[in-house]
Amino acid sequence: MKNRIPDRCQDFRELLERALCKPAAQLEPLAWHEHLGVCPECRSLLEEEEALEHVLASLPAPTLPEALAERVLARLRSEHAPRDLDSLLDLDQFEGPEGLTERVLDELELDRLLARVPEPEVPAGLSARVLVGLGPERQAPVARVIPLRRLAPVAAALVALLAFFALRGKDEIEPPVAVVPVEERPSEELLAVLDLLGDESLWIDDPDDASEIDIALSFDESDELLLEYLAKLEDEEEKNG
Amino acid sequence: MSRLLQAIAVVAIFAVPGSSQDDAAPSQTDRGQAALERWNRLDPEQQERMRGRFERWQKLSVEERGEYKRRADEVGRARKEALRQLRKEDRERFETLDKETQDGVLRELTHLMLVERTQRLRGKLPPEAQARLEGASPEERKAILDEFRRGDLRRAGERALNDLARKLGLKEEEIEAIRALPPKEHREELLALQRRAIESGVLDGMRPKDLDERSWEKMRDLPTRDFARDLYRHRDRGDMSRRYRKRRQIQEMLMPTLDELIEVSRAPERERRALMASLVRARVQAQAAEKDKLPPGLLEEMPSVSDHEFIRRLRHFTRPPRDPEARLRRPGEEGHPRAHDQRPGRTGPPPRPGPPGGADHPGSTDRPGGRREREGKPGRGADSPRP
Repeated sequence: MKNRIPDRCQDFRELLERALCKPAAQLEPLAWHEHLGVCPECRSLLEEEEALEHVLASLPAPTLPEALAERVLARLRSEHAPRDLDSLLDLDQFEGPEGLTERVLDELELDRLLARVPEPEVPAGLSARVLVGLGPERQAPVARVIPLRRLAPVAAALVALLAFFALRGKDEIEPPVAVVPVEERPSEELLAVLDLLGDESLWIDDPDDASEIDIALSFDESDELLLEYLAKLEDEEEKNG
Repeated sequence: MSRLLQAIAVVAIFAVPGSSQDDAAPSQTDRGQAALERWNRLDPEQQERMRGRFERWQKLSVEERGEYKRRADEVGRARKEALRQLRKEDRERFETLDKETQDGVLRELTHLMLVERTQRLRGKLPPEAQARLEGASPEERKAILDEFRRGDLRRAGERALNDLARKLGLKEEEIEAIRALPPKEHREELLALQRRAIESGVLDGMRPKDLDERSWEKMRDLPTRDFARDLYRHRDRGDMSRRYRKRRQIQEMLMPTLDELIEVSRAPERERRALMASLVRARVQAQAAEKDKLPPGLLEEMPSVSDHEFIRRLRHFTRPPRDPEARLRRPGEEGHPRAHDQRPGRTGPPPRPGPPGGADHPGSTDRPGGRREREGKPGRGADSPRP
């Protein structure tokens, strides 16, 4: 409970995490996020990540010495049986288990069918309510921010896998997209009248409850004064016939 | 040296209004930030409700929006009134509550102030207007009240101005200047004149008699509108304390205690009103049984009605009868309100026009053009303004 991160921080840090997971991290748009105006911790977290990205971007692209590849291969051949190494390097001679291609294509067909199933409609605000409910159990977002460097091997493996399927199959595979709920910010116009909208007395729908207070809402003090004078006026008119 | 002083004076002239304005009112950015923070504190369900209301708001005309803002001002004044009405010991306890509980307590108290004020004002409406309101839908009621406000009450404005001006000895040009004011300013000026007349003693009997000197001085420190609001409330309650002690007792019993308000403020929003009715009813029944505070037989005849209806019927007894000499009427006797669901306009087609005098006062002999008795009408009591 002590380490609980506010929901707004959770949201922002998820956005940051998503931005860092992209191959070329685009952190600049996040610098304009409204949450930073009120949260020094998240501001400082973003600054740290920006600084790291800046340092990484300023490093020169690594270049390999000429003929390094040949030297490495020669060294490997001297330490391993040449046939094994050559068979690994020669992808054209790759022999997979029997029927693998068909099974992969079947799976891809299933994926394509699933993709056609319409998205279920989620009740408005459900995601936010679930996040609020899960709040206490959620981990500290700082720990959940995975630096790009650590993701590099996973990303490389993923790219290699996709490339493999692209070469082998004819179907296009759409990369999975993580859906993170983003709360819709209320319009400035709504915020300008929020006090009025939040005044329960003005928005009573039950007719009986509304009639309990509606005269007091319609008449101010000057009306009460005039009500008394109206009574006098009517009395006078009555007396005068 | 003199140039230096001139420079300082110039800087002071330009700097002071700016800084005082900054101090007095938060900037638009601050208000926007505060609104955003308030929005963020709402739970998703509340946010959905606000969006729904905002959609309704966007469909309103400019005049309708203006009316909503005017009503919001009324709620604001009722809230201030509610705070002022807290007893000293309750006020001290209230100050120690957390912000959320304070808001909840104040919200319920404000609602009660509005209920009480509506009852008082309804009693001051002419019988025709009361009859028209009975059984009307909320939108119709709004239109009837608005029409009455713009028509009949405007007519009374001239009468009020002449009366107050004469009592205060205003010159003709001063009266003309007030007459030429736009409606809003005109009404403000009428309230100010009324206050002057009361404070200077030329408007006899308007100062509440049960108010001690300290409370009166405290009341005189209030802005004019708040002064008028408290004045009418005190006069209303003062009347009852003098002539209708029984009714005053019931009114006191119906007022929730601070503990009840705190309990209700922590209940889920949809259950608050029902919980409040239930708590008050339990307390009223216990107190009434002990001290014989209610009219005999009243409780026995209401065992099966809902809490809400129980409170509503009791509230009826807190209003003075039309005839100042009339005794408290028991259920079933002439003048007792009908069951809520048996009232005109509640079930089936509204039997309009209702019974003479309206459904709240069945059996009354009021009729248009006839001699009218009106609850809280000035001139009936000793402390009413005299022309």
